[in-house]
Amino acid sequence: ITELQQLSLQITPPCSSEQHYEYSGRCCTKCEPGKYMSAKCTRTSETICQPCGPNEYTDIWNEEEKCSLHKICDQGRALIEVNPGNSTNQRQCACIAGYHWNEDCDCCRRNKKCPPGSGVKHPIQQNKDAVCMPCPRGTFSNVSSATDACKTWTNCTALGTEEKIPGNRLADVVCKKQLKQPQDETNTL
Amino acid sequence: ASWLDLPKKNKPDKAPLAHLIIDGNKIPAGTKKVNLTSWHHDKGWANIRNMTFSDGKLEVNHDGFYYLYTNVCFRHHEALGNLTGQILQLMVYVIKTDAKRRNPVVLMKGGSTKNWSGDSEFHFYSVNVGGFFKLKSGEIISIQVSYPSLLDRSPEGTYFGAFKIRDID
Repeated sequence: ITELQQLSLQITPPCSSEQHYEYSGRCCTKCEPGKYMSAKCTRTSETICQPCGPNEYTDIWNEEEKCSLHKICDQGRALIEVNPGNSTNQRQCACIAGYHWNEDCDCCRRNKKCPPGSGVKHPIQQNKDAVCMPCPRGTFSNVSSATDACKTWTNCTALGTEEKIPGNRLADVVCKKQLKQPQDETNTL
Repeated sequence: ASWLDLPKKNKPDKAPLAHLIIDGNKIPAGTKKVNLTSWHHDKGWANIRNMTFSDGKLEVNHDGFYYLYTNVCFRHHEALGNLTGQILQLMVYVIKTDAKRRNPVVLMKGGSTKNWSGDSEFHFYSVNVGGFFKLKSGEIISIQVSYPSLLDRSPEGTYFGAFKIRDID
């Protein structure tokens, strides 16, 4: 008998699963994502699930009486839609370029500006604040900007000139005045 | 119907209540005071029972003393332009209209004047009012706001509701 009991315990479906609930002494199936529960199960009938209406969703197996409303990506909060969502996935919003989401104010904050000598790390991530980094050797930034990366020093030799003042983090290289162009010489001749 | 149903005929078996949430996709534009007519009554957190709702008007079906409340949020982000030089008076009014659909009266108001110029990228303000009122069947509750273009579109920010506490003796 104990063996039989053990066997029946093993056969009984576990009701602790995410997809089941216990009701009227039975273990019933919850509603799948994209649907809500319009009627619980009874002794004789299964759960009745109905699909979510337009602009609604459920994203987990649920016992909800109705679906959740999609949020609004409100322009007036500087939000744009990143993913429209559907009946099983919530809509996603993000702050427009130049701003990032801040939980504390529940709003889109202006991205910080990186001071001269540092630049914005690229690529800039949507909805994330600017990340500043000191300009590595060979680059400079002479502006305070929320978008600009460090710029590469001018290559004087490529311009046919020589370096007069070396560059640093804050300033570009200064090249010697350019030599007379060959065409200028022809002009003087 | 059996004789058991008879005592229920005059009274609703469940106390009247309503919680209406703003339909964020249908907010009027502009800066003039308007009636807010687009609310959800059965989606999200919204609920209604033994009251009637249509076209922004919440109609009382059962005489009684009701608690009425509203919460309205206003917001502005610099991405939508600058408000410098504009005098903002951000207000909400809870209006009752009698059963003959005329003679509107203000039951409650709340709000504040604001100066939303300045360097901050975001401005926010919320108004909450509530009160206990004797309401008769046929009377209608509606909401007016100033400056609808600044209205917060989220259902947890802008809503109103009512629930019956007791009968009129």
